[in-house]
Amino acid sequence: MAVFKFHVPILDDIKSKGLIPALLYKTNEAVERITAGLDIEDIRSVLRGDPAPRPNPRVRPHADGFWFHMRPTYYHNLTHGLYPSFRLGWLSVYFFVFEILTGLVLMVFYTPSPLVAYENMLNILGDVPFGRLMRDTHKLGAEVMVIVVLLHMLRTLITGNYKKPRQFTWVTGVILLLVTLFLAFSGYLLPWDQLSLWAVTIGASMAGAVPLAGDTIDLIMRGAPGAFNEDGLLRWYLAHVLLLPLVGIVFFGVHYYKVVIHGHSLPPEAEPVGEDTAKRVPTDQRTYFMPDVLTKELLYVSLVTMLLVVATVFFYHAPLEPHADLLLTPLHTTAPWYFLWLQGMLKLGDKVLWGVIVPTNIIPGILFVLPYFEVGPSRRYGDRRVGLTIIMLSVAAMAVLSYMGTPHYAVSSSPDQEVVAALVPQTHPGPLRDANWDELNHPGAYEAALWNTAPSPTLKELLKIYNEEMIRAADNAKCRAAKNCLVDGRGYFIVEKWQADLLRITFRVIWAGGPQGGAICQLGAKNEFCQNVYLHRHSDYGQGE
Amino acid sequence: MTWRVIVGTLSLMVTMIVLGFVAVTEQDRMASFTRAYESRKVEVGGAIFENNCARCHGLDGKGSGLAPALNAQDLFDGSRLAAAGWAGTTEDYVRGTIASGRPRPSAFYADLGYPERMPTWGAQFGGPLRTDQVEALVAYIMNWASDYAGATPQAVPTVVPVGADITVALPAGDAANGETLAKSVGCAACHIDLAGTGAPLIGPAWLPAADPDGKSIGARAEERYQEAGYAGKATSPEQYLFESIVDPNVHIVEGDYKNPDGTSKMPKIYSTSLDQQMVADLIAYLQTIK
Repeated sequence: MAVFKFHVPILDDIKSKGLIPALLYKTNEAVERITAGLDIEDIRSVLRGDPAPRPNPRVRPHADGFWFHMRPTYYHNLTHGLYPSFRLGWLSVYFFVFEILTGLVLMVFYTPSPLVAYENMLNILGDVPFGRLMRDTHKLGAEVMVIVVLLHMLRTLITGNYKKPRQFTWVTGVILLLVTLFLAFSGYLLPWDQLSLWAVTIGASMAGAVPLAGDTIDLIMRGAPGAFNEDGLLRWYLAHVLLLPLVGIVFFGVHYYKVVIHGHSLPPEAEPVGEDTAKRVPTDQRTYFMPDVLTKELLYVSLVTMLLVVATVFFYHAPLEPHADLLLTPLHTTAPWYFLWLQGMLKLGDKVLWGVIVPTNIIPGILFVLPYFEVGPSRRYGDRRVGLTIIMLSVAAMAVLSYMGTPHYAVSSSPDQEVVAALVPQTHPGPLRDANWDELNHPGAYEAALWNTAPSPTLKELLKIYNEEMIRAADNAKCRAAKNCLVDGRGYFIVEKWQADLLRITFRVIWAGGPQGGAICQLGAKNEFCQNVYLHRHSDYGQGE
Repeated sequence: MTWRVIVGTLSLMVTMIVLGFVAVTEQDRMASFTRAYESRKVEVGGAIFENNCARCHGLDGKGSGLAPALNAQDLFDGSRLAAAGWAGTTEDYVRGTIASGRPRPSAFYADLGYPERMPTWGAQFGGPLRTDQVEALVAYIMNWASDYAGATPQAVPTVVPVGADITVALPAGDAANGETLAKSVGCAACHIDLAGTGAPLIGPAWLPAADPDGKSIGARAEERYQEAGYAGKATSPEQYLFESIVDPNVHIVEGDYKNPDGTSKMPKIYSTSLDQQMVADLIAYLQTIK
């Protein structure tokens, strides 16, 4: 009597059928189990686009498999092309998954602590193979995802899909929009560079304007009163990698379930006014998920991934500024572009009204309740002229507000500092740091107005910009209003050989009443502005970071 | 369907080729990023130096009456480290000094009389600068090193240990050298109230003012080896001082100078860390203290 029976069925198959046929048979069987119903020949037939055999094995994965069960077995002929959905919802999911995958890789090399977070970035960029690619694609994917989700919402507004019976789908969509925005925004802080710290500080400080609870919210968000510390960073990190993705996954589940339950809605002109025929797809109007939709989606995955990879390898690199410094606010700090409208609104007036009530109550509030109040039966464009006009005006208003959020609008600053910031901005490398070091390596003192006499083309170019900025600072609408134009201004540019491979460049701007002769750049001198910049031969700001 | 498969496959191939390109060039890219970042550290360090260090060390790092030069050959050729008894690299010396500061004016510079202590700069020791800023400063200061590359280090004395045999004949001592040595090898810390705080000394006082009997170390050496309770082997004042330095356990004078195990509190390192000339210089110096 054997203690246990050891039986390998494939050995029997090999004995009866021979090695190769038995292995092929087993492989086929495994594929059929994994796809929950399709064997190798079925898959090849799907990819060839053969007409479905009867009985149709291609519906079996929809019935038996977990992943395909979520997808409809067939679509209406009018809904699976580019119009009317532009596949924006699908693209949002693609980016969500893409961000999770790249984010997981980045998490491996990241510690949420102000002591090491920035060093982690340097490690990812300088020591981790494919590290920069992961960071760049994660960042670019996030930016594109924000665009895609916004366009998805805009498209839904335009085609009127928020109307009955899809009101709740719309509500979950608004939640997903907020999740997307906050995911992108919370990720902004994690590199712990100047860009991230101050962009997020703008957002976080608005929360401090909330009546009554403002200080508490600010403390919870930043970890210390009025300043980010390690607790604040940890909270933003946990929100970014746990809370928001979880909320996103839950509401994505609800959202997509509702989409499938109600059916992908038809273009507005394709169905009678007031009717929703998406659920009943006539047999002659059906496009089956397999093969058409599936192959299209595989194509999209392949294509979009390719575009992302090519874009990040050759064209786009996520910025990384100097280490976050709580004591040094860079000139012209802005919120991320998708929150510029908020920064623009803040310039309209009251911080509580424009920074809290409108953006966090009124705008999301209108979006949440929109489908329950806007109950006109028709989705047709011709019947919704007022609604579509309001949508377009809102888009235009957002664009205008976003412009107002940039430093070009209503930001007072000293013209002397602006002149220097045009050459060495505090938020990105700028013309001087990007310039060829060897061509800068001509020690001497130069004057902006005499740019044409500079010894190298690069110096000439920089001094020319300098001179143009000096001329602008001498007279423009902004400085006339602020009464701080640089009368009789002169700009000097002093290059000193400082150390091996290191130049020290001094910008010195003086204007009427400034020091004449004598020592330059003395502390407390009037009508004189000096700024030093050190430039190393190999600092190579052209790499993108 | 056909073009979908073709475009999809082509896209996949392009992705793989681009990723392959990244894989091939990644080593160089990482190296160039690291070099660029190291260079940017020097730039950042320059600005921090100008704002925080230049007041005492000079904008050009050549030093001032307030603090020693950093843009100087002796820092980079090893001679300053040797004189300070520092066994690590210059970079570590600079980093440690910036980060933790100096709790008191360095004995090494005592004769130059810098009036201020090096403040603590590193945030981990209570200073104002983050670790990356300290690192940037180190990079900036170390960037001066290349100006002194190839400079021959000033001779670092190699020590032939003097040993514990007090009967060997020592060379003639130089009291002035001995006085400098007393500060740099650590004697003064326990035997002289350098800081003038009036706190009790750890070892027997050298200066008569701090001795209970009002006698200097030189005067005591004259008498001690002839006293009744003397347990050592010295037969002259010089041998007595020699013995006290290299073999302090043989005779421990009365007072609180013993460890709990009954040995002398005097470090037992000098028979191996000093050479004959150094001991001779020290003895000569001690005998001049009257």
